[in-house]
Amino acid sequence: MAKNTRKILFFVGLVLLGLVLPLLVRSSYWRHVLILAYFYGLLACSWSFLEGYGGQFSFGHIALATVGGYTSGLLGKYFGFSPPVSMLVGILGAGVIGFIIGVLCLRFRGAYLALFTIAFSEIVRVVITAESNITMGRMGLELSPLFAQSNKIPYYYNMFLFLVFGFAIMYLVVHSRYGLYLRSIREDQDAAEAMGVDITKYKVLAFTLTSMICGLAGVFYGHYLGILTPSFTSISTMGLVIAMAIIGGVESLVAAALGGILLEFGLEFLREVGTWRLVLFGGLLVFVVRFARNGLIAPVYHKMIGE
Amino acid sequence: MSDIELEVKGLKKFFGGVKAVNEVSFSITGNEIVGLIGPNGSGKTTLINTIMGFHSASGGIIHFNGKRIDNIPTHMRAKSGLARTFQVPRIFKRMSVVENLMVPLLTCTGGTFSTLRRRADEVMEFLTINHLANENAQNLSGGQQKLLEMGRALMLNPEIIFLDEPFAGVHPELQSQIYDYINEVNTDNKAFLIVSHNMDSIFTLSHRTMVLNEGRKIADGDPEEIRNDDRVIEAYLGDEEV
Amino acid sequence: MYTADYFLMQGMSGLVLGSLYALMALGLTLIFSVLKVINFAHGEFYVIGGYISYFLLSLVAGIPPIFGVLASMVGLFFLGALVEGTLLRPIHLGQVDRPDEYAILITFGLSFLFQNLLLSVCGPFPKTPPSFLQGGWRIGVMMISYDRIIAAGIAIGIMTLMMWLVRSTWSGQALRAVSQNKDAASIVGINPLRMNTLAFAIGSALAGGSGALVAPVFSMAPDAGVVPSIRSFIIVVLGGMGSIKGAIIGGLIIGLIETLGTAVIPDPSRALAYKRVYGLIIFALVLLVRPQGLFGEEE
Repeated sequence: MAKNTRKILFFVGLVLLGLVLPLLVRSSYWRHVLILAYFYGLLACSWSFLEGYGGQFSFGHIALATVGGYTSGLLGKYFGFSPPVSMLVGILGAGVIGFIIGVLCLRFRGAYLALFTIAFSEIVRVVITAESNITMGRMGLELSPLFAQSNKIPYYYNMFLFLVFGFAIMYLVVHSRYGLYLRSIREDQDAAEAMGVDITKYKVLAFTLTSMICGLAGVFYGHYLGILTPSFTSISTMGLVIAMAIIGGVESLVAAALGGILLEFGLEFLREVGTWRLVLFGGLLVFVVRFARNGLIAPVYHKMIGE
Repeated sequence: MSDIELEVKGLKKFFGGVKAVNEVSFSITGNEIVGLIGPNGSGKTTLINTIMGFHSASGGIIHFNGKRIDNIPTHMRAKSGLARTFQVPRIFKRMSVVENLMVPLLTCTGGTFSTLRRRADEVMEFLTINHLANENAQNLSGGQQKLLEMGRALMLNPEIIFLDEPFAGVHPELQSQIYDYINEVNTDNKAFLIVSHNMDSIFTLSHRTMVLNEGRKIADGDPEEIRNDDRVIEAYLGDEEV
Repeated sequence: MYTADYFLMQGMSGLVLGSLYALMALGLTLIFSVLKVINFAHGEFYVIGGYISYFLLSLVAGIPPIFGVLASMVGLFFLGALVEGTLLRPIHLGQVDRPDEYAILITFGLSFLFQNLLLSVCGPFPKTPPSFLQGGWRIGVMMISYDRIIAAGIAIGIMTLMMWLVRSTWSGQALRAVSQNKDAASIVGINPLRMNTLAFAIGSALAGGSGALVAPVFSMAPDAGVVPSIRSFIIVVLGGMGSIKGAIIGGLIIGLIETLGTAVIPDPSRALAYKRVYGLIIFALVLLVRPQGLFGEEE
């Protein structure tokens, strides 16, 4: 089975590359960029899971990551929980919120879910800013570091592990019967129901899973940077994630993840160009949506693995 | 012979002031093929939609194999043995033919992909679309999509299949193919309720014919008698197909 | 502190702001009503409108500020027509896969593009066009600036004109026809594609106009469109998607809630921060409980 072999080789190759990169990339700054790139890659991938496979267009991913991060931070600050425990609770917290949103939004079609999640994201941002007595508002909530060392290496491997782990879970789901159910829901919800698919259950599960992955990304982000502020939960940041997934290829987990990683890298690379790099990014997004719906990376990826 | 029984009593579906389905009662037993005809807008598709749960009934009760089903969700009704096709095929466009068939199979059966794949292969062969197995469903012709719809319905291993206009927009050769498929599946102890404007097919195919007009059932019986029934002819006056 | 005067003043302030909100929301609801598309770039049209006014008034000295508003509306009219013709028309020509998803993505993509374009071209610092009229109207210790009152007056004027145009011109009737039933309208000889462009152009012009009206009061920055954009969504959902009446009444309601809502929470710093949450919560509740809003049609 040549196709499967090529796919396996591709993934193994990427993992090996990821494991080896810190040895090749010596500068602390570029290691930092890689870590952020993996962070965005994981988020973009989880967005593509929810939209590209499940058909649910959500603006809530950054907000859910924020919820996870703040939960972990607050537990650490006020109850003395240590990071592994507080992070776990943060992930679960994000999952619970995601579950609630998933249930509330069951009947929403199309843009209504988008609008609702915009509102959710804004509410999160406003509440965090307003309750500054507890959350430290704009000054930022401090989170304890994960590792004693100050160099980036352990953080790099941590984020890489989270990326691989999160991706693996979504990949397994997508290639299972549940993946077929999700895709059928995206294609035609009513027909899927007539074929015996419990759309309620799977829509909510998809939302919950994606939220937990956001939580995973968020708790790492918070403890890595050491600080979280409400400005992170902006629609603009969410827009970046969506753009990355779309430009990468929204119907492919791999393409979306690579989209996140490569585009974040690209944004850093072009830092000297100033805000024009975001203009380029925006133009690219509009172009891809209009003329290359399947994304730019997805076709390359499919060619590489021979599909 | 299995004891299938679908019993519909006093079913109603109102949309605001419009009484799309108005006190319809009937039953389907054994492996009958029941034809359902009626002028445009008489409520045939709405009836199917309501029995399947797409619309919640405004009144009436539905029993299937002795159990009430009018209060359970659509997907549960599908899994309990009721399958349907859509007037305009609603296949999963960007999924392959095989994937389209696997979805209903997976919801009803456990087992690994490979064992279930064999069942999908059987159905594709039966419908002679196995050469299209990995093709994206949206690339199929209209007729092939209709066959795929039937295939999906079969994959649910249903006891009763609702076909909504299976012959519409399909060239005559394929029509007779579908006609044969229906008969062949019927010998396997599956009942059909077929909505169609293709009178010839309905009258020769069905064991029994029901007629709807403006949401009400106005006739139910032997196809030959229905054909000559004054009330039915009157209901169709102005509709040129009879 | 909360005297009758305070509530009166806040109430009027709320209505004044509400009229401005309503103008922008009217544009959004018009676009939805005819094209069945939610314009996620509406906030950016608002900002562009503010900038057009600012640049015109700073380049050409001595002209009355009202020309800034006119220029914004004309400019956005053409920009909207361009956007619709190039990027949205493919939806209605059936050239696009998954049209619902496309509509969200393309308008959102534009929003992203425009925001950063404005940031790169105009810089991050807010710009303030000159006032319509300095000073304000005092009651006791409180004051509403003349700028706001004039802006609200102009907004009301524009909205009234719009409603009259929709009712009495052929184009207006045609727009209503297309919004109710596109196929039936085309059978009667109305060109739905042209109506789509017209609706989008007018909707954009209304957003631009409200930006130009608000800019002297609140100034304009590249990211200043995010909050008004979300607020427009709230108003349109509350009032009912596609309902003109709903957009206007919804706008006034939201304006009142935002200004009077600050009185509910005693702690002033938090009260200000939570000002926007009321609208958001109403938004969420309406979506959950009565998605068609006050005056919209049930799906």
